[in-house]
Amino acid sequence: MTLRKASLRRAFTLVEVILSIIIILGILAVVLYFYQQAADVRKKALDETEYVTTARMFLEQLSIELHTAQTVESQFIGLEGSSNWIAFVTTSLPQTTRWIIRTNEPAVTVPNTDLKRVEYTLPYSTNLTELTALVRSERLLGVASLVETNLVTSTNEPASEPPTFVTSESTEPATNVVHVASGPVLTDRIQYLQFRYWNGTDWTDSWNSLSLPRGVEVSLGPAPMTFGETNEYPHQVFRRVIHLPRSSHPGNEVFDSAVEEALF
Amino acid sequence: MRLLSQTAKTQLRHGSVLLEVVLALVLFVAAATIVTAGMNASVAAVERLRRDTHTLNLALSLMAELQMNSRPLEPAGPEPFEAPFEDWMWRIDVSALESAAVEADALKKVEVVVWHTTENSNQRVAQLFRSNDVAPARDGSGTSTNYFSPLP
Repeated sequence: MTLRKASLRRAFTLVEVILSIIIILGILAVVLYFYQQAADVRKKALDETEYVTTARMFLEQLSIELHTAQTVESQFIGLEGSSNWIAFVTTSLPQTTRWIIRTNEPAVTVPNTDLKRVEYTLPYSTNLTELTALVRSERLLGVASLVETNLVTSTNEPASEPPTFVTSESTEPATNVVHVASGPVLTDRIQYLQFRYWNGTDWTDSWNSLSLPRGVEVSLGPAPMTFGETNEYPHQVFRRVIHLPRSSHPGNEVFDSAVEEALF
Repeated sequence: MRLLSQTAKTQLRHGSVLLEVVLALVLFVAAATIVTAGMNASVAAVERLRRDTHTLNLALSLMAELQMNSRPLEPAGPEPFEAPFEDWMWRIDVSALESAAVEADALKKVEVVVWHTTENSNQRVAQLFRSNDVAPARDGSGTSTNYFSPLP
């Protein structure tokens, strides 16, 4: 009897062991569930932060470029766009290397143009499970003959004719062409992109004109558009209207005349 | 006496174990509370960033609509935005410039105010317009024209 009491004191009973195992398993389950929830929340927060930051940066960049958008009437280059792409000419600081004066050159080379044609495209995907990516491409509207001469032969002959801007972009109406995205991927966080153009009285889904629209509305979303019973985008959307100060509008004529009157 | 002492020691040991278990549970709950609070703060920060982005976009869009002449340049609001931004309100204020400069007398400050109805998120965007571009204010000041033009 004494030995039995001693052995009972030295070890746990089966009930105690089972109970402790159940308690440990319960605590582990709670901890694992809590950890999984925390990891999911962290991932969602990171994704959401990255998406919002990307959307803000994209809208800021597009706003800056559209604020300086203009037309090149001599080459019939205006603003083109549809609901999922836009292409326009904007300005930027030219490369400083074009102003370097070489001592062996008889004439100063013409600086490179500050005009560039920027294009944003979010191609539609027929497969809803396939993600698309926002593509941005830009092309300098260079002075072709002078640039080639200076880069290749360095003959340094002064230009006898006024420089001409060149571009290989199509001038066909935007509604009749299938737009193919080309250029580096800007981001794949934005899966929905829609442009609308303000013509002075209404919003239109496409624009192809030498004159700029008064404004462009940009809508961004994190998931592709699913075409169901309604045409409403089901996800949360970031939307911004961007004014184009260089657009031609009857109000601008009044404004220009007022500016000329004030200046002269 | 010896038996009583052994029982007291056993009870004391059991009480210590119980105190350890309770202390461990308290530490676990405290750690879980801290982690949960951190996660909630992170989610709230993301939500605030998203809400502020919407507020900024709405304010800039409203100012752009004034510049585009798609909306009359006159004091208006407060009114809610259309869906899906019905949780935000907007107001357009027009006031005279406080500067006493002669050139500035013809200027009016147009201020767009956008705020969220329930959360603390607001944005103010202001731009100067010429006085003859601004519709009559509620107090009767200013003149009315059917066009607008921003400053050069």
